[in-house]
Amino acid sequence: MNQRAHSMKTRTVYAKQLRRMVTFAVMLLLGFLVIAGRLVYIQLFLHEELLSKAQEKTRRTWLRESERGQILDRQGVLLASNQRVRILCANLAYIDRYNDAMAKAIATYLEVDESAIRDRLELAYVTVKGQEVLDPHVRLKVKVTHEEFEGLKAYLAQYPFEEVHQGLHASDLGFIEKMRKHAVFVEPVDDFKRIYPNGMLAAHTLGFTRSQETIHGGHTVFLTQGVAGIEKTCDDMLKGAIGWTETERAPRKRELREYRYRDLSPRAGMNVVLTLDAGLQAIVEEELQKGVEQSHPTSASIILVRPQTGEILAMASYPTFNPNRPSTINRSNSSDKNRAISDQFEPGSTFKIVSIASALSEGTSRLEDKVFCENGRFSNGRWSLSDDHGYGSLSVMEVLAKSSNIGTYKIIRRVGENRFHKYISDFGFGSMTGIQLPGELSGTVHPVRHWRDVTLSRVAIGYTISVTPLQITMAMAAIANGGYLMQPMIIDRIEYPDGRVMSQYDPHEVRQVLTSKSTRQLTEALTRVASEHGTARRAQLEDYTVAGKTGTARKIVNGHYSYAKHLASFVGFLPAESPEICISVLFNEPEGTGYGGIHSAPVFKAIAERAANYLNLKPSNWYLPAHEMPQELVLQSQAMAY
Amino acid sequence: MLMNALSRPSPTQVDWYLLLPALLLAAMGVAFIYSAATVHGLDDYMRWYQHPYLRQILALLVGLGLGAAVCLVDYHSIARWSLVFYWASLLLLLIVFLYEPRYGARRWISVGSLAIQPSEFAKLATICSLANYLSRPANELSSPQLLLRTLLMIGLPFALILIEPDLGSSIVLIPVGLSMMFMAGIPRRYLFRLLAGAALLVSLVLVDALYYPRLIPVFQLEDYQTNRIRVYLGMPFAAPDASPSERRKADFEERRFTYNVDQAMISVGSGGWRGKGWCEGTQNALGYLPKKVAHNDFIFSVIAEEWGFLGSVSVVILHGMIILRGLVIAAMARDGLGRVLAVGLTMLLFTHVFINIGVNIRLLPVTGLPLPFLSAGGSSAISFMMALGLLQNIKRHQRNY
Repeated sequence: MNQRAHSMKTRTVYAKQLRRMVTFAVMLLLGFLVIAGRLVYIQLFLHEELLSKAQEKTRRTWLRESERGQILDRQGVLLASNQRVRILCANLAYIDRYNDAMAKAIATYLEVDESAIRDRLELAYVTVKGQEVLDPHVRLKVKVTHEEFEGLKAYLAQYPFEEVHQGLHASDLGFIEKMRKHAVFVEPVDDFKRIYPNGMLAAHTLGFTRSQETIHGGHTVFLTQGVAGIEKTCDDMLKGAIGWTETERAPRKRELREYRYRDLSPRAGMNVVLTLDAGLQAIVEEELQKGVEQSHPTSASIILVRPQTGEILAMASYPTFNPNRPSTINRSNSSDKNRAISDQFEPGSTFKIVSIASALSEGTSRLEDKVFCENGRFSNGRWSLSDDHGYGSLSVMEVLAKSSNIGTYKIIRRVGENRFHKYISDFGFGSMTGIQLPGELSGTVHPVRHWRDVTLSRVAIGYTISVTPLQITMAMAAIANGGYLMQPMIIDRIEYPDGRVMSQYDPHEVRQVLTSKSTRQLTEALTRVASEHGTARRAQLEDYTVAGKTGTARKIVNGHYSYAKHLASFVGFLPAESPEICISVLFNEPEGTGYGGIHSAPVFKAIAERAANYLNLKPSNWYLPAHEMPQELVLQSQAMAY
Repeated sequence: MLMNALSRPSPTQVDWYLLLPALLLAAMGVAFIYSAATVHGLDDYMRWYQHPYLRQILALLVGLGLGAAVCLVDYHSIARWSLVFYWASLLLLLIVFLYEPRYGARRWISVGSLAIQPSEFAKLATICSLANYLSRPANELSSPQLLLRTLLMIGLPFALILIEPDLGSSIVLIPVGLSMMFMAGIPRRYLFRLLAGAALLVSLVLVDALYYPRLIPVFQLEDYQTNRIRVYLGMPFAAPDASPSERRKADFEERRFTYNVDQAMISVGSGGWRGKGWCEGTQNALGYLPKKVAHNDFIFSVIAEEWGFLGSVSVVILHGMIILRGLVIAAMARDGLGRVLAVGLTMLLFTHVFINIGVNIRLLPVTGLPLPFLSAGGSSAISFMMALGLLQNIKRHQRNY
């Protein structure tokens, strides 16, 4: 009985134990099943996705910036170059609680936003060996030159940190001394900063660059990009080829050489050689500045071209800027605007060269033909036209020299709207010249079918159309070179970094606009403008005969032609008998009368004089008017000029 | 007496079902510790004898020796002395606090170049003394006083390990203790209440840590523990009303804490069926798996990446074999003491395997627990070998049906 009970009890105990064992085993089995299921899911179903993640994580491309090509003038003078730069960093361990004062000092010296610097000087933590530690190295600014860095150190050495924090201990003073020495340092990297060694010289032509921050492979890369001028048009050639290193990388920037599988050195950019001559450019800019100080225009531009080839030797605009510091560009007066190609205006009298040229070329008038100028007042009942000074009967040559509106209208009336319009278009007005600079405008020439009764009389004297300074310059150059409209050239050639020529640009003739006979006649007429009898007495030179035309265009203010605001211009070339340079000078809204003969002609004269000396042009004081000159002498003088 | 001597099997009779999988795992462990540490270039900086895989082989040999030694003494004698081991291990757990924290925790006793982690041995000692205490007639087990003492016996090492801090190791004691109590026959109503109480406590601590920082003064999670739980639950680190700079710091922290877990997932997943080959894993080689943990707590990721599904399933199956064998030994144990002890040891192994692999495959929040026989770490290698020795011991003295 007892034994039986015992055995019964034992059996129930066993049964209980067995049940517990089974429960326990089932629980463990469930655990294993969960793990197995999850493994199947991750390793077999999520495999593709996670594999691509693993590769994307480890394969990384590092861009290496190439050295940007240089920009040179025709003589090889450096206009744009590069400077090796570093990344400015700070060591927070040396700054500690002086970060506010430090941010202020650094921001003041570098002229950058103080709050941005302060943010960077905030403490950042990283994990090293499982413990959070302060990351003492922070980057403050990229593209810092050696001079800037040395300057900053010198600035910090005398910065009055003691005054910012009052009541300091002697140990604090020691700390500050150390901070001044060690707080900032530079990280050596292969990086370049664009510099323009001549400062503002040819700023509008060269343009400027921007360092663009792009995220590549999760890393910030600074790429230099041309945003204006030649820097923009030739960006593709200048920037060269970016190199890259493609590696499988460990985090914390540790590169494993054995995992590196692609490595391409960056290739330096091509050099761009411009048609500009730095010497002439400097002359032009100096004289432009003098003219600006005299006349106080709101804007101005000067272009100097070689008429035979269309090469631009100098080109300047006011207001100007320093391409080394694009941040200082004044947005309110668009100081970065290349006005020589992107200002459109009604040219006024300067445009009369086109009117007279078409009449001479078509043969509807000859230079010595007389035109009655109505004593300054002309009206046909529907509209009227007037001259500043009343003239009676003038020859065509005198009409141009005195710039008579009524005379010009009467001359062009015989050419007719359609033929006149053809000449306007042939001279290149209403379409872009095709200069290799960004931002060029085409001006506006309305088609004849839109012309009203009055339009011809207005277009003839340079109103109701708009032109750019470059267009009017090229038109004058066409008169100077025997009637050929040339495409303006700004790039002479592209060179490999080692100086070999990659491609040479040749002068390009767009079309013949005038016969050489009519250009000779016109040149002679234009020499009268720059004579004692013409509107441009102030453009006369002692040793060279100048051909040119003044312009005084009234500007539209509030829908009406203003009497106070003018566009004063002078476009001319010299020496008249065998032209070497063609110069246009344009002042927008100069103070005072606004006459082109008063504001622009003297600037032209100053430039022409210095440029002729610079280029060593043959003086033409032995000059005879072309039509009186024996033919062989004309040929001889042209031959000598070359 | 004679019968007794005859029924006692010879000590050389080894249970290969237990030992063979463990040796295979240990060999794999050494191979992958080599893989994990070599490609990191760690061996460039250290002498050959400092290399982790050699230290691991050494620890495994010591472990085998100690396991054999444990095997030779009858487990009843060990159980009788268990309380001594228990208090000794508690003393070691206190000595830990005399040392400077390493990696933010005081878990090690350093002797020369050796660092002993007493918590590993404390687990074994607690299991032994618990088995000894719980193997008694069923009617005694229902006394609340005994329950209280049992809880205290688990609670002391639990608390000491928890404040090191080593949340993972301390948590292991809970399923181990509960399973032993269950197997010993403590009434189920107590166990249910315990479970409910534990669940309530855990949720309170979690809610406190995640939503109302630091309201409950006693149980406080460390910051990194709270963060790991946030990562697990996919909660953003930054408080909704954080200032920009606070938010930046919080986001940085979030990335930092999500990193290991993500990388482990990517490692495991990118392995696919067959893996990338031994020493060929890019995750591991390029250091995306953190150097510090790749060869210990995240060794499973390395195996899964380099040997793929086949490798990781082999690990699971080999561990399953050991645990199954442990269950069989428990079922066939000669007495209650053997059974409860075997269950405790089996549960210890299982909990380690489940939590460690669970962390690697993002089933559980990150907590540092070694994978038995595989992870680099002398103390854990030795203690698991000793656990095997104890199981073998119980097997040796099992009933012969």
